[in-house]
Parts: sequence; structure tokens; C-alpha cells
Amino acid sequence: MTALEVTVEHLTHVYGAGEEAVVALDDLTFRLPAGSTTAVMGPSGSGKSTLTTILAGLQRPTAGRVLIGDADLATLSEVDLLRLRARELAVTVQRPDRNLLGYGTVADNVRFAQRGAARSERCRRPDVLEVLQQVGLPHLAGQRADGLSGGERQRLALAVGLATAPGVLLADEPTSQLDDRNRDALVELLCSLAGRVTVIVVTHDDRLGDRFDRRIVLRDGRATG
Amino acid sequence: MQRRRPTSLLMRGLIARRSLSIAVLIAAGLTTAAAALGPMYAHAAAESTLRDELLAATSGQTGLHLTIAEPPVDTQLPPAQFDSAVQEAPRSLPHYGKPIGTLSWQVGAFGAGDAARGAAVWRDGECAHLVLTSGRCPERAGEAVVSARTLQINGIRWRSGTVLALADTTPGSTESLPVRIVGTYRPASALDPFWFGVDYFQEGEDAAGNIRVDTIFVARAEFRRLVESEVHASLDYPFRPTSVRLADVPGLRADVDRLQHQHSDSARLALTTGLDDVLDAAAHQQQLVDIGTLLVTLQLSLLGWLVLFQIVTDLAEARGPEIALAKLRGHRPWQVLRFGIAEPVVLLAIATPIGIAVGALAAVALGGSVLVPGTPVVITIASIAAAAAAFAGGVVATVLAGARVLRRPVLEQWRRTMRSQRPTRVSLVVDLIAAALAIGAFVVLRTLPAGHGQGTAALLAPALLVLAVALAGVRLLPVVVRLTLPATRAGSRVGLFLATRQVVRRPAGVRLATLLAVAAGLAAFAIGAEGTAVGNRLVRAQAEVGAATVVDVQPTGSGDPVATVRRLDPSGTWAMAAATWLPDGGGAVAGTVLAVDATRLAAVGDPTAGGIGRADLARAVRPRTVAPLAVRGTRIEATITASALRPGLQPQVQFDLRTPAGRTVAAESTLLRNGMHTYRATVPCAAGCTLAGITWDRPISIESGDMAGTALLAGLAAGGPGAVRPLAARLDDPAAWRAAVPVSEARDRVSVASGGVLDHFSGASGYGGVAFASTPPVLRAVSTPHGLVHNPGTGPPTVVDSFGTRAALQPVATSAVLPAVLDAGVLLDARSVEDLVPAFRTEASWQVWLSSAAPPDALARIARAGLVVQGVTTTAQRERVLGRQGPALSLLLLLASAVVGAVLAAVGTAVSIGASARRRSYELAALHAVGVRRGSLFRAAVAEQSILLLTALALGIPAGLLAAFLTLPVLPEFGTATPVALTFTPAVLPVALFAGAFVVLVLVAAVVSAAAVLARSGPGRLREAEE
Repeated sequence: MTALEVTVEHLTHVYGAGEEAVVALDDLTFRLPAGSTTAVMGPSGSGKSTLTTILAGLQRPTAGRVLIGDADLATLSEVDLLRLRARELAVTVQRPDRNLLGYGTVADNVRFAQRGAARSERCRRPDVLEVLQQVGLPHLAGQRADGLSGGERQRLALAVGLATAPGVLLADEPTSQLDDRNRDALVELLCSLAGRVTVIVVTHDDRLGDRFDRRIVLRDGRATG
Repeated sequence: MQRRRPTSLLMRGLIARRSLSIAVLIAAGLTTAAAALGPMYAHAAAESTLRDELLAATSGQTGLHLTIAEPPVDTQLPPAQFDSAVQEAPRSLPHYGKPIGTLSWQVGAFGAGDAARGAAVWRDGECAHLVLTSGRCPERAGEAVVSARTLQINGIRWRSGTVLALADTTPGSTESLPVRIVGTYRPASALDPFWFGVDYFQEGEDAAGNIRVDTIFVARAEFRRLVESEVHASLDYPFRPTSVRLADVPGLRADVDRLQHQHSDSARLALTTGLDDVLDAAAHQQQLVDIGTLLVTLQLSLLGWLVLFQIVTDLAEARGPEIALAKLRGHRPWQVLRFGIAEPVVLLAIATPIGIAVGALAAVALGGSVLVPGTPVVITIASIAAAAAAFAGGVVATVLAGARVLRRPVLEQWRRTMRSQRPTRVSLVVDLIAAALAIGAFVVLRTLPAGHGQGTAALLAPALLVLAVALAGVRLLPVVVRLTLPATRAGSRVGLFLATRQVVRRPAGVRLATLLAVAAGLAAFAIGAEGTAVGNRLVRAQAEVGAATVVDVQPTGSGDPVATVRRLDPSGTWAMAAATWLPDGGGAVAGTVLAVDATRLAAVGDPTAGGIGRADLARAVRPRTVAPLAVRGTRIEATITASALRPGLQPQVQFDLRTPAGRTVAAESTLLRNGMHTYRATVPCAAGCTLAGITWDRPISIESGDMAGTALLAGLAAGGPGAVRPLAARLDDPAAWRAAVPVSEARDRVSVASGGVLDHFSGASGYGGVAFASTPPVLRAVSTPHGLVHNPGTGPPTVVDSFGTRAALQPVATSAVLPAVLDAGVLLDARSVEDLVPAFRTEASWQVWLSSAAPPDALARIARAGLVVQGVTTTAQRERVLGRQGPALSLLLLLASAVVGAVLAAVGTAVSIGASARRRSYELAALHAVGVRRGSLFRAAVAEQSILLLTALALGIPAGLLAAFLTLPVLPEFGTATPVALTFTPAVLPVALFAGAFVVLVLVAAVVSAAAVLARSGPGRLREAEE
């Protein structure tokens, strides 16, 4: 597990064209050191989701560069993007059920995340129980994912993200729909990753922003904080 | 922690999506079953048709007949050399029984002062096939058994113990052997395959007027006593049809071919068999089944494939989020592909053996219902290959169906409400081209000339037509519904308003409706066609058999079958005597004579489609006669005034009578003398007779000379000695008397004068007389168009028996088809033929026709009446045999397949509606949120589904019926041609019943699916859609 630097340079993204064009991200530039923890915040429609999908390699920016370590997402092929997500870039999206195979067990989900790695690399992947221990779920390894509570599912989603020992962890609203106790536990967990993984969390939760190394506040597609 | 195999995850996925998994399993299983069923069914059908052909053939056709000859004579040899010749012949052959050796010697048999002609025969094991009515079988030389009925012949006084001298009939031969009658027999069945189609039981008279008796069976040792007589020797290898399977046929042909070549150069042995022809006929049937089965299987497999495609598409859509997750986790493309298709492929793999098993069960079920009992159903290599092809097709369907989901970007997958798949102009053009091609192919198939397989290829036509109608009709649906929009907008029914808009703007159900329309259309065609075919099989069977049951009988002694059957069924409602007869050459009949008891044909016979009705036939051939003139007593006398007789040329008065048993009796009186005299004769009529007429017979002493004169018959009387009473002879009725049928050059002019019946007779040779008009002068005949061949310039057409007796035929009508003889024959009245053609009774093959009203013990009654039952044929049997011919088997497979196809389409519909429920639920939730009531939403959902599903039926079922209407005339229903008029109008009633059931089914599906969609349309859906 080697943390990677994330660099965003003059990132612009526009939906539509002509009079109907909507600028979601407008010349956004920032650099996140390897092993740092960052909260991306902002009101609805500020461009958080667009930034998340571009950082995840799910969408190509209209202009600008995004570097994960040395890899420029704008120039990587689709296969290379897949390989990047399989090795270095873990993404957990907003709804837990989008991160999980509901019918699979907790261990199945972790293994499913590891399956993208090349066979030669799999031996370097962390053990499933080891991963689950990081999120406090080793005792539930055999449970079906759709039988877990909301907090357990969020933790499992995080475990799935960590299953590939990524350099960057990108999490979209990981604490939403959690009660305070579970949220605090999850925040502690994310903070504990500092130094080992570059953590980027997209959130509305101010308290989460307070605990992280830095925060980026977006408004109308621009960084304001 | 122990690593778990990915298969466990796969299994969990299959279980989690169990409804879809089961649906895929069903669809894939049925598709595989359909594919595997065809070859298995074709193989079983081929086995069945082979068995049918082999069983229908006579033992003489399928058996091997090895004639043993001694050069230079072709067919005879001294019997002493029989054994050595047998050594040359094969001792056993596969599929043939132990050879039956036969030695036959044409003899004259003399005993107890009486003589007869016949054959002395030793046939190996004959006694096992005879019923010994007295005594025992011959065991050594000098012993013989004769038939029991031989001892009943008038003029034969042989009894058990009588010593017969068997004399060679070859001119110049003087060889004779004495044999003692040690027993009497009757044949267990003259049709027993043991007899190899040779009629060993030929009682009657030969052309020379000699009494001919049934075969005299002797011991083999008898032939060792012969020195110079010509003996026919042969070995018959009886065929065992039930031992032959399809796989044995090439070997069987090769064996027979080898034997034929082996003996072709041998002067001692000559092999004859008709097996090749029988096997060729079976091969023809097999070819018809193969073509039909292939076409039907292709159609059903394609339909199954489309349904499978529909269902795996839904499965792929259901797995869309998981596939997006795999991409999010960086799985490589091949991993995503494997993950995406693994579940359906595993289901296909599971479904394959299940499908093969289901196909085998279906083949067993189908076979059990129509094929020859005991026909084996085997899983052939072809059926496994077909199942493998179905599996491969399923994988292709899975990849095609999953391709869109596999290529779909993750972000697009996450959008909950996807854009509907609007038909593009390209797809519209593609559909129209497909429809045009389908119609073009349909027209080509309909207009193809009959020939090898083209008729059977018409099985493809319905699918093409139905597909064309479905594609075009479903495409037009949104256009038509769009026309209703203004009306629904103006109306108060929100549900209908919403439903019509959904159909217009979201034709996602087009594919579903097309599929359902094709399935319904095929089913409608198959049901209509099979209904028609079933009716036609009955019609053909009725025409070919003639009555519900036809019993082949052999009259015993001199019994009259017509009179016997009349006594058997005095009501005349359920039994009728009939006979088929191939008259001797020289007559005008080109085909077979069917003689029936015209008084009963209308009540007992079955209709003959395409021919004259039974009642009209009976009326047409019924003789124009008066009621018979009964004579009871031992004496008969006639008062006759004769004049102008030529001295030395006076004829002898002869009374012609008929006993109740039908035997003719000629009672001779004295020579006719000028003046009024009474002429008397003794008659055997104590039990009653009928008077046929009075013959002015030419005495033996008058070989030639014009025998002429006038005779006035003034009175007739009968009774016992001293008690003669006048007969009601209607001597003043011109309709009651006419000229007798002249023998040779005689002529009679008969009229009714004051005082009696006046006959001016003359004849340079032969003789004539007067006949009471209770017997016909000519035979009224109804013939088929080519049944009678004669030159009008040479007088009326005639029919001739082996005695040379010629009776005139009076064609009264022509019928395209006649019962039993079909398009090559003549229908006559049996009693009339008996009256006019003496040899008819012994030459004809007699039958008793039974109507469906016959009592259950009719056969026993026939036997008790003195008729030996030799075989029974029923219309039902014939129907079953016709139902086992190649085209019928193909049609049945089409019916079964179409029903399976309809079930498949229904499964596909249910799955598809269920799968779309989630997608639709967002729209309905939104409509509910803006104030549309749930009741209206429910009605809208029901109406939308109903419009789609009912449209499919409204297109498919009429298209199927139209296809049946257009195709049935060119679609073969039988393996052989028939002149019987068949119906080609599709059976509408069963189609209507099917349509009704299907409508109910789809309406239930519409209501259930609407309820399911609505149940999922809670407010929570809107929150999901927001994200």
C-alpha cells in the first residue's frame, strides 16, 4: 500500500453545448500530497459529483489534467483506467448497494474487488480477513451483504475499497445515512488511513472536513476554500 | 481464511435472481428440448413407419422365396433331390425365421367314386397352422388330411378313412399314389404369414368344370415315393418384421442383395423377394418425416431462441448494476464479460441435459400416442448435436443480449430511468424488408411444383406469413393508437388516456408483441391444420375401408354369404355382405368390382367423400326386379301351350330355382310338345325355394339346329305329391316376366298375352327361356371414370368370370370415387352378380361390412353363422395407420411444437413484464405524486398491457388461420396420394377455443403485471430516481 499524489490542473467540465451548455467544473486546480486526507465539500450542484466521477476515471474532463501519481486520467485508455482502478484507485460511491453485491457474503465482496488484479499481483493483495479487520467486520465474513446494517454496509464498502491496497481512496458521502456512533467510527477509520492512502472524501458533513488534513469547498464548479 | 471459489458467488447470484434463473432455465430447457426432440422424434417416426410398412406388407412380399429347380426345367425337380438342394441354401439369415420347405404336387384325387382336382402338399410344420377338426396329422407316407368343407361338397362322398388315389395331372403321366384320409382340418387363418400369401384353400370349380378341393396335406415321405411326377419345391424364409430396426436396414438390404447375386447364376436356386420395394416405401416415408421434422424443429428452435433472447436480455438488464460495479472495481473486459454471461451460460449448461431429457420424454409421449406401440425412442447423436447447437445458440443469444449492458458506461447504468429504446428508421426498414422477404418466400413455397420435399417445405410457409404479419402489424400499432389520442384526451378516462400514450411513446413492448404474435399464429395454424388433417384422415379411412369394420370371411360349403348376412342381421342396419372381385380378362372392368348388398349399403356403409352418396349409390345399382316367387314343396309343374315347334328340335323344359342358401337348382322336365301340356319336375324345395325362370334347354342330343317355337306359360303350381297348389306367378304382369339371359346364339321375345306369358323363341345354338323378374337382366353399374373400358360399337360392356360367363353391365352413373375400390373400379349389386355370374361366388373375396351400430359380439355371430373370419380391418385402424405416415407425423410435431412455442412465449411475456415492472414503477410513482389516482394508474397499466398482448393475438391468430387456409391445399397430409376428396378449410372451432384460452391467459397476465407494477410504484421510487 503506497499512497499516491493527486494533482488536478485547470480541470474544466461542461455538460451539453451551445446555449444549453452547463459548466460543472471551471478551471479547477489543486494538488493533494500522497497520504493526505481531503474533504471535498459544497452545496448541491456545486460540481462535487462531477469531480468524483472524473477523479474515478468514469468520465473524461472537457479540459485540464488529472494525475493519479504519474498517470494522466485524460490520456489513459479505457483498459488502463480499469487497470488503475484495479490497482491504485479505490472508489466507493454514494449508495452502499452500488458498492456491494447484495447476494454475496462480506468476504465475497472483498474478493470480488480483488478480482480485477492480474493473477501475478493477487498474492500481494491483503488477506480478506486482514482487510475486514481494518473495518472491524471479520466476524461477519460469512454474512450476506444485504443482511448487514447500514453502518456495517458502509464499513464493508470501505473494506471493499481497501481490498486492493490502493494508493488513493475516493469515497462519495461515506457517512450519509449513518447514525452518529457509526459515523464517528467510520471517520476514525478514514483518518487512520492517513499516510498509507491518499483519502479523498466527498461530503456534506462539516465535521468530517474538520478532521481531515484539508478541505476543498466547491461552488459553481470553482474551489472557494 | 480459506479462499472460496468464484462459483459460490455465481450460485448465490443464481439463487438471488431465482425467478429469472428459473425463467432462463425453462426457456433454455424448452429450446434445447425442441431442438433435441426433432431428431429423436424423426428417428422414432422412421422406426414406426418402417415397422408399419413391414407389417403391412404380406409375408410373400417381405419373405425370401427360394425356388429349387433342376436344370433344364425351371421350377420342378424330382423330390429326391430336394434335400441336396436344401443343403445349398442358407440355413439361417438375420431377421428371417427358419426356412419352411414346401413340396407341392398337382393331382387328381379319386376316392369313394368321386373325383376332384387339387394339390397334394407337404409344408414344413403345416399342422401347427391348421385346426384339426377330426383325426390327426399325416405322419408317414400313405396318409393325408383334407379340409372339413371338402367333405361337405355336393358330389364328394369322401370320409375319414377313405383311400384316395392321387394321380399326377401332367399329360402323359400315369404315376399314382394311394393315401388314406386320417383327419380333417380347417385353416386357422388363410392369411397366416406361414402360408406366404399362397392360397392353399381354393375350393370351387376350375375352368373345366372339375370340382377343386382345398389342399390335401400329406407327409414329406409321400414325395419320396414319387418317381416321375413334377413337383414344385421351394424354401420360404419368413420375415420377422418386429426384429428389424432402422439401423438394421442397410445390412438387411446388403444381405438380400448378396443372396440374389449369389443365386443369380445358379440354375438350382432362384431367389425372389419384394423386400426392396417395401424398404423403399419405408425410406420414402422416412424422407418425408425427416424434411418435415427439420422444418418444424427449425421454427420452434428459432422461436425458442427468440424467447430465450428476450429473457436473457432481461437477465442482463437485471445484472446491469453488478456489471457496472465490476467495471468500477477495475475488472478487465474479459473478466466483465465472463462475470456478465457466466450465470446465463451456467443455466444453459444445466438446461442442456434437462432439455435432452424433456425432449426424450416428449418424444416418448408423442410416440406413445401415435407411433406403432413399442417403437423405441433413443437419444441419437443427431439429437445431442441439436442440443449442442441449441446450447451454442443460447450462448450467442446471451452474448448478444448482454452486449448492450456490457458496453454501457458505468454512469449511464447508474441512471435509474434509462431512455426507452425507440425504434429507429433503420430498424423499421429492416423489419419491413424482413416482412417482404417472408411474404416473398411464402409465395414461392406456395407456388412450388409438387416434388421432392417441396410440399413438406410448405410447413415453413406459415411461420413466414405469420412473421410478416406480426412485424408489419406491431409496427403499425403505435400509428393506429396515435389516431385515438384526440378521443382519449377529450374523454374522462385517465387510465385509457395514459395507456394510449404509453403505447405511442414507448413501443418497448414491440419485440414482446411480435414474439407473442408469431407464437399465437403458429399455434393457430398448427391447431387448424391438425384439426383438418384429423378430419381428412377419417374421411380417407372411411372411403378406403368402406364401413366402420370390414371382416374378411370365407364362406363354408355352398353357403350364400348374402343370405347368411341377411339372416345374421334381419334388421339390415349393421351388417352387409360385400365382395371384391377381379373379373377374368375379356370384360370391360378395368379395376376391381365391389359387389355390395344394395339393400343395406346406405345403412351400413360409410360415406365416400368426393363420390356419390351411399343412398344414391345403393339406389343406382339396385336391380329393377319384382319380389321373388316362392316355391315350397317337392314338386313343381307348369301349364304350357306350345306351337310351331320343329320336329326333332324340341327343347327340354327346365325349372330354374334357388334354394334359401343361394344354391341354384336346375330341375328338368320333359321335352316341350305342341299343344297344351302340364310339365312336372321334382325339386328339393321342401324348405322353400324361389323360382328364377323356365329354360327351353337344348338337350344333349341336339348339338345344333334352329330350336324355335312359341310357348305360352299359362299356369304354375307347386306342392307335394297330390297336393299341388297354383303359384301367384303374376302371369298377367308384363313387369314380372322377361326373356332369360340367353346362352350362346339364342333369342326370346317375351310378352304378356291373354292367358299367360308368351315367348317366341329361337336359337341356332344355345338356348333361352323366360325368367321371373326377381333376378336382373343386366348388372346396373356405377363406375369410376376409368373403371369401365369398352367400345360402344361392340354392344354393352360386360363382365366375365373364369367360366367364360358374360353378364352385361348397364352403366347408370359415374362416381369419382367408390367405397373400397376408390378411383379404379365398379360398384355392383352382389345378389345380381351372383344371379348372373356363376363363378363370382367362388372367385370373389367375401367380406362382411359392419356399421358402428354392430353389436360387440358381431365377429362371434359371423363365425356362428358359418363364415370363417380371416381378418378384420377397421376405419379406426386405418386412421391410425394414416396418422403414422410421414406428413401426419410432421404435422403432429408442428402442433406439439406450436403449443410449446406458445407456452414459451407466455413465459417470456410474464418474465418480460415482471422485469420491466421496476423501470415502469418510476413513471407511475411520479404520476401518482402529481395526483393521478391509483385506480386510474392500475387501469392504465392493464389497458396498456392488454393493448399490446391482444394486438399480438389479433394479428397472430388470423394470420395463422390465413396461413392454414392458403397452405393446406399444398401441404401433404399423407404419404401416398388419394382420390378421396379432402377438405382444406382450417378447423376453426379448435382454433377459436385456443384463442379464447389464450386471451384469458394474456388478460390475466396483464392484470397481474399491472398490479405488480403498481405495487412497486411507491413514493420511495422517486427518491431513488432523484440520485
